[in-house]
Amino acid sequence: MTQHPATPAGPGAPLISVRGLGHAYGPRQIFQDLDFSVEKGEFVCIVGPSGVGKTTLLGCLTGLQRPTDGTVHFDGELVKGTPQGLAIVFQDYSRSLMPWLSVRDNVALPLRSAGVGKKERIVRSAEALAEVGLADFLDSYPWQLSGGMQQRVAIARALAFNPKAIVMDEPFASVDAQTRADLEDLVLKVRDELGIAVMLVTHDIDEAVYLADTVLVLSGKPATVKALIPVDLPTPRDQLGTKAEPRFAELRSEIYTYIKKPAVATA
Amino acid sequence: MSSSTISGESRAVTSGRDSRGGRPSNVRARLITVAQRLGALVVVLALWTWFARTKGADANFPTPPQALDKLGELMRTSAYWHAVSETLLTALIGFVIAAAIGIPLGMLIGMSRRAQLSTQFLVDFGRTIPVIALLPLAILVLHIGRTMAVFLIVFGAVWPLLVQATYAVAQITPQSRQVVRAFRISTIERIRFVYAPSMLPFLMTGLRIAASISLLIAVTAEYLGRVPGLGVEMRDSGETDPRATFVYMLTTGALGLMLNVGLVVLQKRVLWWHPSQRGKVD
Repeated sequence: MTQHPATPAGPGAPLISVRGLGHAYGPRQIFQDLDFSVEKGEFVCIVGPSGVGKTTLLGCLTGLQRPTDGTVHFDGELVKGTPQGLAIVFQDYSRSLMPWLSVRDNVALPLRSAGVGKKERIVRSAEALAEVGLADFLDSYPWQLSGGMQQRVAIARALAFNPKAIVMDEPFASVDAQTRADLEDLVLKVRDELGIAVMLVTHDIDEAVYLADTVLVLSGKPATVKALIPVDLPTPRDQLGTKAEPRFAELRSEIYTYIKKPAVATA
Repeated sequence: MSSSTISGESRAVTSGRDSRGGRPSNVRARLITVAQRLGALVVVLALWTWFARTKGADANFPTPPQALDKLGELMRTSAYWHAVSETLLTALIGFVIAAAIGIPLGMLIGMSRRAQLSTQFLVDFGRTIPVIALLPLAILVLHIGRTMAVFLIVFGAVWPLLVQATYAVAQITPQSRQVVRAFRISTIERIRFVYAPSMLPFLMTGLRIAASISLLIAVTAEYLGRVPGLGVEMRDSGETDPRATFVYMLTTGALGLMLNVGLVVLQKRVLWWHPSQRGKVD
């Protein structure tokens, strides 16, 4: 991740490159002058106080929202709608999965629209579900599963695409602590095995430090990139070991000081 | 939903339903319900008999066995079945037209917040007009006959369909719109696999209410407007054969009951995934 990306095309170019990005709702400027890029396979966590515009930023990155200033390039192409190689995991799994479709069909639905043939849909949805540990629940329905398992289904739906990047908007905000730790490790495992870039928004600084290669701190009114902090913790990460490292505590407090107000770390 | 699987794999659709039914505690609960219903029926039959033997005797009001006799007698006549089929046909035509108008119109209104606000008053006004108040006008303009009855049914049954269709569209959350956009789900598949199923619970409610209303207004229009069917039989037999009147009444009630049971069964079949049908709140 670099603050000033080179030209967005060509070999060795970043996967996502954001230049001069700004968004305003009417006269209210949410963020401005954002410049950063995400490399292939990089894990970037976006942190910042609530209301800073993290979700709006994700909207612009994924093409669900049109920015009022600047550009986002994905894999060399200007982002207008959601790009082919980008998949999204939403925060609210209960509303992002369809209760009338089986787990397998929830995963297969986007593939069907993408023109993937019948046989390959079966294979790819099963593979994606196996990847998230749900190989035994293909024919279950989302409402028969726990919250954590439902979010796994949402992750599998994103993976079935063979995306180059996954964008996650506070994906673990509504599950309990143990499930959250499991899902964090699952996402790290998936990233390592499939080499996908991940952009994850969170309000939890510990989570950001634990997961990320780079933490992007968004703060201010209007918000700007306050810092890009490379996380130099050893990999693979480990829930007990990594969080016990002195460096973990240093990084965490460094990020806190960038966000300034300590009371902001709530949703 | 049928076995139209998206993954392409054919599978039994029953897997989603096995959390319901079949357990001993359910059987026990069901037995208790049946017993309670039988109890209520016995009480009603006792009261009915008592009334027929005392106060109702002067008006030739039948006791339950007498009513059954009369029913058996009428059921052997073609006039009875003709009346039943006339009523059902009138109700059905009105119901179908009401659905054909109410559902598309409601969906259109539901697509825009502004349309909802600006039509709210008209809809509220229309649905509170008692259909019977329109009867003189309907007779004057459309004359006696099925057309008049159908008009009244459409006027009465269109409202619940319109209102439910409006809700059905308006409840589609920005979230699910985002999901279909984010995953580039094609328009046809959006409608088939995302929007239509999510609208179905609302539409089913509208259809159930409208079906009951259709039957009710069909019989009322027949009775008051002398349109062929159960209503007019009820009226014509009133002075000559009160027992027949009562049997026609029972028939109307039975039709309504069967209609409702049929629609509840249909609802269970198409909405098995819905919290209301799985008997659990999530």
